[in-house]
Amino acid sequence: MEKNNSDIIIAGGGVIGMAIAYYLSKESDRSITVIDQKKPGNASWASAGGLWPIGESVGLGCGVIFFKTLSKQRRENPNEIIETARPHQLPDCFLNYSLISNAMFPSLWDELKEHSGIDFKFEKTGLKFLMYDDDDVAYAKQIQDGIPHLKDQLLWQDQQQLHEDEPYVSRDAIGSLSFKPDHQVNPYLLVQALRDGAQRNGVKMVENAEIIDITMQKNRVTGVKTKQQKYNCSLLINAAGAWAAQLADMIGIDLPVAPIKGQVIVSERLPPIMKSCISTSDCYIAQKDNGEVLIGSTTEIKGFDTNGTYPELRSLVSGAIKALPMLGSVGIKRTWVGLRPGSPDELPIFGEVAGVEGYMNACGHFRTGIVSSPITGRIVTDLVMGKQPPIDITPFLYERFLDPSFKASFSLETEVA
Amino acid sequence: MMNEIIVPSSPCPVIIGAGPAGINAAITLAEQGIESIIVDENPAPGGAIFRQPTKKISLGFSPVIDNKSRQRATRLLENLERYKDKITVYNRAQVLGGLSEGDSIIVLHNNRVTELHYSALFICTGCYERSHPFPGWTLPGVMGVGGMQLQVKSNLVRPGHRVVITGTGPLLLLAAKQFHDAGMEVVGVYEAGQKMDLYREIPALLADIPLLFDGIKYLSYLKKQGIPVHYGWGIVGVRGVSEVSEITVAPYDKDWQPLLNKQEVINADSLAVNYGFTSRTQLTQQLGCAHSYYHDRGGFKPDVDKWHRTSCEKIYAAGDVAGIYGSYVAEVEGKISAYGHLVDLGQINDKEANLLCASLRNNLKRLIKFQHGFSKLSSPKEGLLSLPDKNTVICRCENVTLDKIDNAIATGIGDVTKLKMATRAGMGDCQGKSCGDFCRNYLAKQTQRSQQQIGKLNARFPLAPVTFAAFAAGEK
Repeated sequence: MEKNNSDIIIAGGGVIGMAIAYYLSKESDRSITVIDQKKPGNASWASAGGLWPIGESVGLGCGVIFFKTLSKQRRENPNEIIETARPHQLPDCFLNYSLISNAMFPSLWDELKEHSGIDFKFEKTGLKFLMYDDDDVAYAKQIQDGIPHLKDQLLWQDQQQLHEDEPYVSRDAIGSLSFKPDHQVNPYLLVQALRDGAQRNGVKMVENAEIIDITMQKNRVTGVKTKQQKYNCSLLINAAGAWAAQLADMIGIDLPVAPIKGQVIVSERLPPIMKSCISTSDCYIAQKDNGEVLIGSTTEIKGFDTNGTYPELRSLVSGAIKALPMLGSVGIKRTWVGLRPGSPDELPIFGEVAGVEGYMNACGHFRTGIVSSPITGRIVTDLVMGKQPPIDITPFLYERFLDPSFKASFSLETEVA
Repeated sequence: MMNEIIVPSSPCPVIIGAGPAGINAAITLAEQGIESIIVDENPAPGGAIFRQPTKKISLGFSPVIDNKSRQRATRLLENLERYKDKITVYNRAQVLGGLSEGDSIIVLHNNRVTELHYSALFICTGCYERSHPFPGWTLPGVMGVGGMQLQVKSNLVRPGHRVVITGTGPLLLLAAKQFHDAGMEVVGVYEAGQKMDLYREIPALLADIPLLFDGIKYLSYLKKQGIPVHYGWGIVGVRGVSEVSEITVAPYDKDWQPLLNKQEVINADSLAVNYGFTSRTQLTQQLGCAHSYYHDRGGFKPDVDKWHRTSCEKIYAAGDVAGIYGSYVAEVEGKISAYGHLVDLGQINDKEANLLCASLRNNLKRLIKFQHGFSKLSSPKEGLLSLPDKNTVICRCENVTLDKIDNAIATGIGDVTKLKMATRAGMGDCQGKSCGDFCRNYLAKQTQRSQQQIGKLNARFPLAPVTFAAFAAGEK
């Protein structure tokens, strides 16, 4: 086997791995190698590209759709105990973390356009939650009351205002609650721009290579093995997305990260039909820079299964027509499945693990890997350089799972029908 | 024709594609008393090879399907008619793919989506013409040889007045005859393969004297009509303002690299081009069957055993989808796959099946040997990849030019999926049917990687366009 030495190996070339590679290579002169294996369901390639720090924190996007699934399940099986009965608003530390990350996008966009020439299509859209009935209004009020400090970032619109803004939205919608700072990007171009930037800074990419083992000396990571080669390093960063637990397991770390399946539909290209991104209790809808309208997404625990299913896709399609009736005559171009790297409290996992040297987590980003990629790059860079990260990362450390009082908001074990 | 798909009370075998392979599979099952459903996207059964005219208007020339093909088509369709109580054919029905964990496919018919469960699935989806981009290939007037044949024999349309035929393989000769019969002026046939490669394979071609005789017959016909056949020549590019007006051809070296100092310009209004076919594997891929790469036989094809079982339970693949050997082989493979299913059902044992298939297999051996006679002549060579220039559009759906692909490769991209994500080549409605082969081969050449490393574009549901409303209307 040929020997390859570098100071740092990043396992995973998705948005998280590439953001770390980019930010770290900007500030550190240590040699960095990213090892990536394309797998069905890679989340960065399946993502809708929504930057919805508030929306995701208050349980919109996939959150509200999942909430509805659970509510329905509860109605159908009243005897079964399903803990997540109300939309789970994520803790303030998460909202803060994702808002800071979101605010990093405009400068990252300019920086990468200049550095690599790749425009990842940052668009200021806002996110609208559509309300069809009193239940939805109550739900929106609950969201609003939950974040009083962000009141000036919200906009409540009645039916008429909504339709002036979004003429294609169904007349059945009686109003909307908008989240002003929630925007979107093209996720593939974001990964590509970060990757290109990282490579220009000297980062080495090893593609189509699956890590099959981690080599250790006592309790210190010394490198990784792929099927083809051996790579030495003094620090291994786990950015392996939905596969992060498999990687950690090679050195005996029980990492609670599991694939959470999401199905997505994209339409043929259309002229602009919506100004903002839309979230309803059935689906979210975003029109991308190329005119395609993207509809997501389910939240299913089905292991690494990436098969589309008829009832789930049909339900997303019906939800999309309900919000934008003109979609009825539009063609469905493609459907696909992504595997989110889910963690039990829906928070990412950062930092070292006690008892193991030369290993660092940067995983478990669940639904929000795209929006939180810049701050992840920042946090990991600071940790590696021995600096103070911009936020307190205590709530995001692996150690939280070892605390007996740890409470999961999301069971990775339960099968969601 | 049925207006609505009637889902049978219990799942039966479902056959995708009403060409020689699919129809023969259905008939073989029907002979054993097994009912089946054929789903086909065309207006009438027969497949591309036996396509009948779709309208009954006279354009002053007769449909140019030759006598032998007409007899074969008639025999096949009469047989199908004979078993009409056992075989239900849905025409103009498109398979969108498989969803859910169950054994079912989603079919679009009359703008309605139906989930059709199957007891066995026979994928007989054939092949399509491979696109090889060159400067000007997107101009109106440039068509696939097969596409132009369909215009002539099915739509009864004469697509041009002066046609040049370039490409490789025996199809070019047949097409030249058909276009001439339809009243077009055929300027010449430019076969990329060297004449010597054909001569060397005469022993293989002797495996099927009648087919060899057909070839000789077409050649002598062309000679009599004064249509020249140039061996070792091929396309360089096409020019024109809103349609083809100038076609540039040149001698090809042994790697099919055009010798530009010897190029010639021909004034013509249409170009028929065919440098080979690609197996139509979108459905076998989407359903998760294992595939391997065969450079000479249509690229990636599903792995099948001797009974044409794929790696997926209950799924068989027969005909050109499982390796391109033409319609005669497809007929035989369709039958063999049906016998394979009878074995799987326990209706006959292996020994009986082998006996029943003995003569079929002998026939198959001979036909395949004959087809391999063209392997050396017609196997696509790397020189074709040098034809497009940096402004040539490679992906027509997403308007991706070669320089965008080159830029992406320069960043170190090494597989075709990442290339798609970076450039959008292959992300359009056709799912890379048109540009996928070029992108893969070009990437393999530029990065010196194998086809397995480059990978293939994943076919995604839906495999054909469907509206939101039609998809939602299937809701129960």
